[in-house]
Amino acid sequence: MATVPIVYVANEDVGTLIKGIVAKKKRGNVRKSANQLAKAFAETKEDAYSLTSKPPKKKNEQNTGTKRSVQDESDKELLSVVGAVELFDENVSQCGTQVYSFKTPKRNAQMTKFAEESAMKVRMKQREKETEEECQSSQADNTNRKTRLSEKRIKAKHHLRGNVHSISTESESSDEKFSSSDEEIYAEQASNNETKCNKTSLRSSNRLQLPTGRELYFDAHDGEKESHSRQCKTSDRTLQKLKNPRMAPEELSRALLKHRDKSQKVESIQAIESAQKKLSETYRQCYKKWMFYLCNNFNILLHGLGSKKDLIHAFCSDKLAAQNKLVVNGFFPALSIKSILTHICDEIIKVPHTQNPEDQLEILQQYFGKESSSQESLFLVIHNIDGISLRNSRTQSILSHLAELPHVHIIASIDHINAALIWDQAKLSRFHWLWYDVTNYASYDEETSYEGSLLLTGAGPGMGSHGAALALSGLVHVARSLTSNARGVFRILTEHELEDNDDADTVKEDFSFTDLYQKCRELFLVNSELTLRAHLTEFLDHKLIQIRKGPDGGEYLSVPLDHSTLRDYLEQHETH
Amino acid sequence: MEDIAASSISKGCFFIPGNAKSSTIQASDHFDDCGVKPQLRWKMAQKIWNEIEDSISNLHIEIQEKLFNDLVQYIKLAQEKQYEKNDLSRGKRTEIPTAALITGVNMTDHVTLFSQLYTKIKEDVSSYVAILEAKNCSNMKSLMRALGDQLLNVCEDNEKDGTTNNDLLVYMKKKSTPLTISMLEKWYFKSIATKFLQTSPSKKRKLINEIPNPPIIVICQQLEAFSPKVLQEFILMCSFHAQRLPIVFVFGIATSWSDVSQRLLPHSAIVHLSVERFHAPSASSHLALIIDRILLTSQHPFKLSGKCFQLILDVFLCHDFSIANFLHTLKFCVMEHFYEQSASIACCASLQESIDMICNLKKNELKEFKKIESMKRHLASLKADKQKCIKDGTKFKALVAKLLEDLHQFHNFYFSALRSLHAFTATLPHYPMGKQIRELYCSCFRTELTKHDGFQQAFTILKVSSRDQLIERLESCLKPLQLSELSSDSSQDELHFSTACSRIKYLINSLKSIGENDEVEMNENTEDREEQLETVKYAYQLQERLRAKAEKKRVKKMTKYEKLREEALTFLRKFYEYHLRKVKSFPLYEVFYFDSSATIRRHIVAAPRLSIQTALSDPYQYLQVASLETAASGVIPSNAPDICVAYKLHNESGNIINLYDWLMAFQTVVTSQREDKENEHEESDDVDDITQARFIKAVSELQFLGFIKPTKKKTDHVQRLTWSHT
Repeated sequence: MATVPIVYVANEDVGTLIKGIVAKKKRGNVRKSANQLAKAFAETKEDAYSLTSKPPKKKNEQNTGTKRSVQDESDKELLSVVGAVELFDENVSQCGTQVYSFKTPKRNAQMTKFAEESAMKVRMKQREKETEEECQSSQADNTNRKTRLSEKRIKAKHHLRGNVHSISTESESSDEKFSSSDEEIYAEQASNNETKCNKTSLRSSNRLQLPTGRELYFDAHDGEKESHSRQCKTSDRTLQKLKNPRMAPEELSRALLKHRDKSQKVESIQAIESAQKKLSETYRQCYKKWMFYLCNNFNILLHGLGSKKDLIHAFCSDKLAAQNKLVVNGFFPALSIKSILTHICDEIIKVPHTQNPEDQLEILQQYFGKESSSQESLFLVIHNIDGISLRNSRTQSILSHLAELPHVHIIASIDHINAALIWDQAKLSRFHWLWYDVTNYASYDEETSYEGSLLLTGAGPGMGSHGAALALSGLVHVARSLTSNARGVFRILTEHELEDNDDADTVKEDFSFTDLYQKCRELFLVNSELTLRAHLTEFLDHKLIQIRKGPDGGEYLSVPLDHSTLRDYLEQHETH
Repeated sequence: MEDIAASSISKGCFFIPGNAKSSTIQASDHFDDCGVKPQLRWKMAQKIWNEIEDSISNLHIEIQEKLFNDLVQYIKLAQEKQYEKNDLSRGKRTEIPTAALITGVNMTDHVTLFSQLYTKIKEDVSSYVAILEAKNCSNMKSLMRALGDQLLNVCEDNEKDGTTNNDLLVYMKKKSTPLTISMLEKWYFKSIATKFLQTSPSKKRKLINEIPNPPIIVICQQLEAFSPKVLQEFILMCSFHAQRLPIVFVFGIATSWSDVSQRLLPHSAIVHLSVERFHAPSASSHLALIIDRILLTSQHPFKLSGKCFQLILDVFLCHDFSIANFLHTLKFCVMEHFYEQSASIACCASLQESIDMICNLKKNELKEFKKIESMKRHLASLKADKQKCIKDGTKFKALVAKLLEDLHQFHNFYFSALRSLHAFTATLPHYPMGKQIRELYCSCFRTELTKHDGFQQAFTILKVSSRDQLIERLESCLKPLQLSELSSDSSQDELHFSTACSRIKYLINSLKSIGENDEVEMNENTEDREEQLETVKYAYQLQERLRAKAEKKRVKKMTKYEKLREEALTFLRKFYEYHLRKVKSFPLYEVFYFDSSATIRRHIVAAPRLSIQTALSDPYQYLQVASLETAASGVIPSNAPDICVAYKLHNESGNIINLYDWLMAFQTVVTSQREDKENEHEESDDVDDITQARFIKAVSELQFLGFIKPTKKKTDHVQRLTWSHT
């Protein structure tokens, strides 16, 4: 257990002292306060970031050449100094830390705190405005109350965390509440955070205490404990605390609709929406250019934040109405390269397609590879070429070979941050991408609908309890289509599975086929082994059971689903 | 309509047939509508690009021709030699002739190189050619299959009516048949026998004389990618049959032969090869040739600005080493130039064409020229009386024509002068003007030569050069000038090429002649010493005179050679400074130069990751709404897009994130604005449906973008995937 020396210091010195302690703590990897670390990083590594940086003012992209040349002119001097590599990053006006943040992540309630601070700042700004309007006395009351509220909230949260550290923090902050020199503390906090809110009048800040300064001290020491376990601590609270821990998809969409209606009245959100619209408008102006480059055997790749689906659709209906096109939803989980190629073969060439994708590719290469200009073109519209099902290198290689053909044109989009890694040099040189940044902040409604979201019921596969939710709905769905006998068989299986689970010490045994048959016969569910097998095949097809060969050569059955899901299923099923 | 059609929960592909009868597309239909004569510009763009492409492909052929001829010659000779040897010594042929083609690391362009080689060999030597690729040859069986398939297909045309070996062929063609080399051998002899039978007797004799047995050429593309075991087995197997089967190997090697012989192939395999090495031109030297012969000439009117040029060079040198990609980027630049720059209408190869083009322009089309940045600057610098003429259409036309003429004049000599200067300074120590001519081009584009450090340095070094060196350098710098001297018309200007050439020639001659009587000159100089100091009234006059005299003496003291050197250097300096003026100082240079490196960077070497991160962490960059301005400084505006709020909060956490806490924090931020609502009083941690829904959406979007993923480490936690420390 580390000992903490106790020193009495004047309030104004607290900040420097804390900084000193924090800076001193160099054990293994250097541990500094969030800001310091970020700053240090910015200084040392700025060059590294600038490699990937590019001009931030995307807005001007569509502007006329004149503006651009002005911009370039200004970089010219820069260029004469910098080396070859840095050519990539002229116009850098942002430092890396602004884009890629490197806050030390080890602190406990960092996120909550950050949110509180941020919210507080926003409120403070508002309040500043209010002061000008409202009369002094009522305003003071107002802030008083609000401060108390926010303090309570912070305290409440710290209580919940329930570790020693938060108690000490609390006592510290309650100390602060009674201390007379709050002004200094506030000032110190403000400077620590480098906020822009410095202009906030001190009077209103009198009542505001954010546990930043001293918490920083305790956090620094708290880090010792953490480093022993090498584990990042998070609170143990779960979503069960919510009154509605898992939302159904319908509820979600309803709530979002409500939100949309509501936000139409809020001015600040409207401003953002109109800005988004303006962005989309500017992108729409490049349709002609995209088409031009597509015709010149370049392929268009769209990147940037926001769903590009609408943008591409508008492009298709605007420019490609007369063309043959194949729309591919790359985010669709069950997509395969074979289905894409089969579609092309079926619909356009109308040849009986072969089994092997490579053979199909060969046919397509012959068909679209002709030099004649009379050959009709095919436009491949691929939403999310980086989609899960298209990510493997074989698929991308086949796509790149398609892209190379003179009569196949591709317009695609990427969203994943590591999307560019799916192409190696050879593939890239076949694709001939022209990249367009079309950041538009549109929501990824359809793209994420296939994805198992974390907080929804009935979400996608393979995500722990959330996957289980999907499994449950799948289970219910399958069960509905079964005969009552088959349902009975499945119930026997599930009950067996759950029984096993109850005494966790014993080694879990799978149900042998003969046992099951015996049980089923007893309950008059099946009359022969054959019917039982027929039922089981159905379950197998839906991946509801697993069969494996035991050591004695017999077949053993198990249900590969979560026990909670099974329990839920049984409960639901009882009600039917 | 499409939107509905193209989304389904059971399908990922949707075919939408075109509704027009003829669905061929024309790029010209999609060229920019606005600006000056778009259709004409598009035609010019095509013409210029085709010209550049043609000259580059000619260069390609020229470079590769020698290599291919050498290779083909080797293969032919190897075959004949073997047979001679066999006849003489009756020894068994066990060595396989092998051509090691060392290609360098430029992977992407090699496929074309090998396919060209393939066709060349097929035409010139033998139709029995196969290209093996590593991906098809993971084991011996698949290698034989790949080899067999190609050989059998190749010779199918020859044996359309050949029924003799039909059974064997059919059997061998089955995919499942494991091919052996003895089967191939049997088939090979049958196949040449049928060929022999089919040819007429007169031809027969000829055939016997020429090639006894056409060789089987096996090309292994990128040898390093093959598995050593398979390769070794294959070589050994071929060597057993080498006495009967005339196999020749061509190995494409990216590294070096010593690397292959030490690492890839064991000694037991190498002894069966008789290797001859061939070097393909390296990618960078190839590019240097392209730049030298095609880009840095006045032959094509389209030119790249120094910065763009350097950028695509950097992409080439630091990124992919691919000539094909380089050309693609170049094509993009040409297209972009003609698409965006309406003044590019005047970008013609000859002056007359440009002027004709200007004359045909209407008044509003001419206005486009006034919008050009360099033109604006030029117009602003004109005197007031001349400014009036801008308003007048015809006078303005004349002005533009005059400026274009200046540019053309300038270009006529620019590249020769550049080459000359490069030749003049290329041998200096430390290369003050750069090793390659492209470096010189880039620096001349952006700075005035007089301000160029390297230029000053170079002339300082030259000032102390010896006579032989100087003569050598002068001769080398004369060569490029003489080439263009012939084409240019004569003029009286001192700095004009023809006069300059004769001047340099004269200087060289006199430099050569002074060698012997250098000493005599020295003596002559001493005569002037007899000047007397006149009596002067004031001391300062004396001082001045003495100083002047000392100066004079210093000059006088120079040998004749030194004087000549001084003369030559001052002349050349003046000459280069005149001809290599900064391109940017010319008005209307934008007509010919593509100068938007930002466009290239944005569309060719984009940074998709940065754009997403920027959009998330600093939405103000994209959405110019005043309230978002604070986002960069650590405050989260409550009206920021939800995904930005969630992202900013997630930045504060460690490598795993508690969803509940995250949601609470999210709520705090989102509701911070609505403080005057009553629900503040309740102060409950209950989250309303809307906030929760927004949070869910934001989180699943972040997951879609790859920032987080669900984890089972702890219930209701997600794992952070970017920038977390552990």
